[in-house]
Amino acid sequence: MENSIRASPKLKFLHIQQSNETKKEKRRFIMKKSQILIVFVLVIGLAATAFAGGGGESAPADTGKPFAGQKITCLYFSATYAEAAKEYAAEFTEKTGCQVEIVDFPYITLYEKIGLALSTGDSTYDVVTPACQWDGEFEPFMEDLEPYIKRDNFDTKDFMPGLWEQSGKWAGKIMGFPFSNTPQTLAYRTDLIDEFPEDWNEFFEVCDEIHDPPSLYAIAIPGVKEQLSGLWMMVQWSLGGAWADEDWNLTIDSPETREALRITKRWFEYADPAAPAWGLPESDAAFLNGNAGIAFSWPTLTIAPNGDNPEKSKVVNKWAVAPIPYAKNGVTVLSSWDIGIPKAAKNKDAAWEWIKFYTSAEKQLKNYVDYSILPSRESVWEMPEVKNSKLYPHKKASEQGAIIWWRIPAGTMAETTIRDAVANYVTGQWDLERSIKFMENGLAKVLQDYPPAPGVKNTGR
Amino acid sequence: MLISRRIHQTTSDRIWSWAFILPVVAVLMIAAFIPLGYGLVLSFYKYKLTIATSRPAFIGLQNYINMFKDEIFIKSLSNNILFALMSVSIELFVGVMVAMMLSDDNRMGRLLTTFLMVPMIIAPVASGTLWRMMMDRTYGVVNYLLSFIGIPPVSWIGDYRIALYTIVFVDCWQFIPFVALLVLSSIKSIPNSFLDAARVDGASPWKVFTKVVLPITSPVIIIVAMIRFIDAFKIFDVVFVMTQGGPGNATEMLPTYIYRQGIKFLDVGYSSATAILFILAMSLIAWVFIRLRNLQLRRLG
Repeated sequence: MENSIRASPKLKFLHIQQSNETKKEKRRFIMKKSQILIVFVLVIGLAATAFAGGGGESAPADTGKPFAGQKITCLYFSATYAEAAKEYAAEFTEKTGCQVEIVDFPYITLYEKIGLALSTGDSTYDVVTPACQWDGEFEPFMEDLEPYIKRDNFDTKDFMPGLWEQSGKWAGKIMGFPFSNTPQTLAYRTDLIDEFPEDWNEFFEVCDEIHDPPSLYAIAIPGVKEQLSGLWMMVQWSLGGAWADEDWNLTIDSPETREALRITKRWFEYADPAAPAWGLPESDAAFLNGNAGIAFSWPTLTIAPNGDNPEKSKVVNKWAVAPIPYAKNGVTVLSSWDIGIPKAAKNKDAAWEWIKFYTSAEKQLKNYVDYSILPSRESVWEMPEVKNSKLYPHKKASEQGAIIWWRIPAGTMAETTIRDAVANYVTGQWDLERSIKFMENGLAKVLQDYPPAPGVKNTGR
Repeated sequence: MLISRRIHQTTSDRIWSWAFILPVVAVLMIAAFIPLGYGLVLSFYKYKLTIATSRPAFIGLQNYINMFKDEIFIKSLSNNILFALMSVSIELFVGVMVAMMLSDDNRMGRLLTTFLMVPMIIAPVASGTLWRMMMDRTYGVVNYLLSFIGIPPVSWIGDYRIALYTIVFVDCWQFIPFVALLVLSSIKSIPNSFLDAARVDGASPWKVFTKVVLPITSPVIIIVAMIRFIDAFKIFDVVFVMTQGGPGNATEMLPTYIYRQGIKFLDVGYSSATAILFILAMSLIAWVFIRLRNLQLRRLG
């Protein structure tokens, strides 16, 4: 470069010309080389794909097993349910020869994963586990399990009938079996509270007694709206309120709705000021850290598995679970998951075998003992390991009444409407009347745009 | 003209050029233009994906009309505009300042430029989660540090009056380096002779900045502003992990709203309408910025 600059203009021109010729030659060579390289890469790629495909379809290793060589993919909620399923997968493979892949997503994205897979006829999943509130929406895409039950003469009497009606059955069709049954309860500190209050007034009296911030807040609460709306619902329902009657006439503009909103807002007077931004993990952590007297939570998720572990809890042997304050009827929110087979699934028989296996009494007991998953079978509730445990008060909560909101296809839209109204009221952005008007208009629009199918009654609230 | 736009190409060169471009065109057609066109068609229909028995019903412009009757949509739109205006203004102002400070070509400048890359290389989901934990009112490190200078705890993401500004702060933290680096490269491309001439004429550093540096870098700043403005309207990850649009709807933005309609409700018709409107608005913004840039280039000769 230095030399070319110093050379005379003529020499410089010749040098550039020569250099250009060389460059062209070089370019042609590189071009040829790159063409060969591209063809080579394509051939290798195609060969690798072909061999990989062939490898995937390998012959069954053990022909003595009924589903040898098959593989099912099961979609679960990323919590204890998926952990338990992952543990059992090897045992199932050993018994049946069928490989099991457990895919799991957190609650916040699970709905869209199941919804998109089902509605687009995607055959990726052989087993899916919808939350009970999604049943009405997903039912048209789910296999009817009745023929399988009849074929195998499978005994279903053990499933809690009231639960199954709300989780796994829709419009007379059996689309799944419930495998967990969690009524919303509360966890509380037994060293601070002797008797858990029976109504919401008493509840606030207890809060007044134990509230001692900043070392101890009376309540630990997940204030993010996806959790808060469910907590509001349990109050509205326990007070005897409802969103609509059984014929879908709206009843949301009621004294119970107003009272439930006031109660929900008042909770925050006794909670850590950070609580409006908390999800379940932060709220449960505050309780386990000994900073709260009562936890509005799903105790089975974090508090029960960790509460008596000294490495993870400062409230070892100082906590218990109680049904929500009874108020008028004690009705609380139900969280239940059912397990079924998508219509588009490829390995339906193997999937059915997994469902029987995962929902068996034996596995439900193990679920309970090892993972704090509450059973959906009556017989398991009667077993001593369950009856004598800290989580048994959930049975009483179930008996008082645990229900879910609208299970129609537009149920998620309706719940989101409630969610927005409650969150905006509780955080002080909307007043009571505006919140109720928003709920009423929103629910009316949902019912108008996507009305329930003819003959479908409101079995929730 | 310094660079010729016409490059000599043989027939073989041209064939190869097209062969390499073709996959990109095909992917764009399949992944962008066809879905966009289909989305436009769907936006005139009432169609919820999970109602198996329902067929898409043509409803004309009803989805577009419903949008402006929806309180949450209006709130999301106003939040998004406010967020974009605040974050882009701060990012440009601070970004240009940082770029000026780093424009001296010394070792410290190069080291700081490397450090500037750190917020940019962290995925927004990860940074959102970190900031969410750090800004927790009770357990977060931010309030802990502020307590040393006597500032009482602040509910950064739990108070609806503050949450939007917190999101603006996190966005600025992440993207000021981006603005600074692009403006810095533009500043460094200014010939020294321009600056020397100004100094010889007795221009103060402020005059050099406002009369030489800023006008020359302004086309780049306008493009950076356009990119950031469009990006700010697309904010999703940080909001999703930090506040989920809350408290209430205080940090709800258009992308989280569209996500809710499309992915959560699987309401294909309505979400298509919101998405089409969003794309049109973004295209309009891009067009305005490009016009601005061209005007500025013409002004600079």
